[in-house]
Amino acid sequence: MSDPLLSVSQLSLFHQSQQQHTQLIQEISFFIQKQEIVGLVGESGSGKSLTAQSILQLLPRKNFKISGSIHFEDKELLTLSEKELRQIRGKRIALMSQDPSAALNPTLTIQTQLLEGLCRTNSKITKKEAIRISTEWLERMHVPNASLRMRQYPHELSGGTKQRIALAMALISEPALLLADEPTTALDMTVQAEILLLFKELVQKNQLSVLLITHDLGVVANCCDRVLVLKAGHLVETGTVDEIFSTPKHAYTQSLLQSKRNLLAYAN
Amino acid sequence: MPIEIHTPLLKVSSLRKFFRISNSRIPILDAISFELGLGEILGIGGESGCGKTTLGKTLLHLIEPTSGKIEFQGLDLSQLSPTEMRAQRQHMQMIFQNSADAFNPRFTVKDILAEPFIIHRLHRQVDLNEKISTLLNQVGLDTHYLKRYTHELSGGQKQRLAIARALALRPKLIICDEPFSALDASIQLQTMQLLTKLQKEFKLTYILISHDLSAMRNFTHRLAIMYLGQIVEIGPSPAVYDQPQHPYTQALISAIPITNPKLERLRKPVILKGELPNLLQKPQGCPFQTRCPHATDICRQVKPLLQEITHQHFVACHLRLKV
Repeated sequence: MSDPLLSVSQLSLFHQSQQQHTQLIQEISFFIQKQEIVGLVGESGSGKSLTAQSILQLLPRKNFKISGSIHFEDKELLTLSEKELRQIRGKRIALMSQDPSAALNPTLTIQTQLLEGLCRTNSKITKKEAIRISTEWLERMHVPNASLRMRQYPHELSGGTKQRIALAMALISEPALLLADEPTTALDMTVQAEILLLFKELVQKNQLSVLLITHDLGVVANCCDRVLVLKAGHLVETGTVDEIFSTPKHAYTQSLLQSKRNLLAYAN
Repeated sequence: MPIEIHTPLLKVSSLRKFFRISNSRIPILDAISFELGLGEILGIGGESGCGKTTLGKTLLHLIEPTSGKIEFQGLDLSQLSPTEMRAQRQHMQMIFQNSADAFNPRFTVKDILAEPFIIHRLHRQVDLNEKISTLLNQVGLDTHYLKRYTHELSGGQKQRLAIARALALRPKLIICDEPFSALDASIQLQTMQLLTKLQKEFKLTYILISHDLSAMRNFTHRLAIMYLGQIVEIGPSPAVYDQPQHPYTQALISAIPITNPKLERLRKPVILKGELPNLLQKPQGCPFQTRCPHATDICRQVKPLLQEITHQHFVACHLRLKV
């Protein structure tokens, strides 16, 4: 097996305030291979989003301390300066956050927002060329009427379209790794199915890897290769999708699966 | 099993609601008709923007309907005076979407639960403190939460509080708008169990609005699927779920991921092409024609009406596809 794209070892996250010192993530270790979709599951409050934010070191350094190691493409992310990190964020590792309405700036058109990311990662590009590439990406994300959408503002668009635009924004600079935080939670089932299919396509065609954060085990069963189960900041179980769903070892994983099954089998 | 409707608690006929945006009238609800039996649980599903929440609010006359009739316990709600309407509101309650935003952040749990009694001027007739602690008890919250503010409660606790508030005046009908979304599976299950327990205890009737059909199959007696302000399919939940007849219902059901990776890989969800049509230029004929994989000429010209295909199972589709 080749070297993993991302390997995290003994990652801990501490929150410090005047009164107390809390450990939010407890020495977790995992890796993500190239062209792999890894699911990160757990109940709300288990530290899923914090894990993604720690990888990109997006949390304010004043209150949050990270220890351990995050190795990505021959670089140790935790030793990089803020300037060097900026070369990674968005360019090599993209984050797609939970709520597409919050991820888009309501006062800017879609075009301005897409071009912002593109021009920042590629300073030589002409505006005309950037517009062409952006429109192409929207089309690739199955956004209908892409050239019209470019001139619109976020409030004019539906939730599904916004989510696809957020996805285009994350992928436009062709990162190697996408951290997708609950990318389908706010969406209808039909749109969710479409977005998940898109993920699988992109992973096959574009050499992309995805860390998919979700609390929906159905989504995991649909598209992940491996699963990480997080409970109160501890990584309690890892395995392939088939292992986790057929023979969950940890009691917490079993209870997660059981509650989903009970929910589906719930008889009035 | 579906409940045979002998005495409908709620009877809705040709309900329409238009919203006015600049100079155009947008049809949000289009000729909705259904009956709801006492003690029944009706699920309403469909994509966001199809009018589920507007329907819920219109049923309680929180939004005035443009035309059509809503009969609750035999009373035509649009004929009632404000005072009479207020009296009826005791019997019909709503659990609003996103319980966190549905509470006044400056109210304590106690204030929140006292408010319905004060509004209906019942607070002097009843022992308020006792009523409130009974309510908390019924939804499984401890009385030491009485002095807490809602931001101090977890998502599941807020959901319980929302249920307690809806329950306060012993209503007959509760409309639950997305009561399970944004909750973890375990909390969803708890909420569902609580709603069932209360339904049995107080002979409640529920309308459950949700875009997540996975949880509704066994929880509801009947399921109605809405598309662009219309009911396109309605019937006993197992039938709608296992033998969906409308192509839109089929797409919705096929899009629900199942928690078995081996089966999930074999499944092919029906992916709907395109977006919801613009409501201002709602197509003539079947509302679903623009995204329907099977649309023919008749679908573009004639609007299909709900027709009974098997017992209590109605579909509005010219093709009535068999799966």
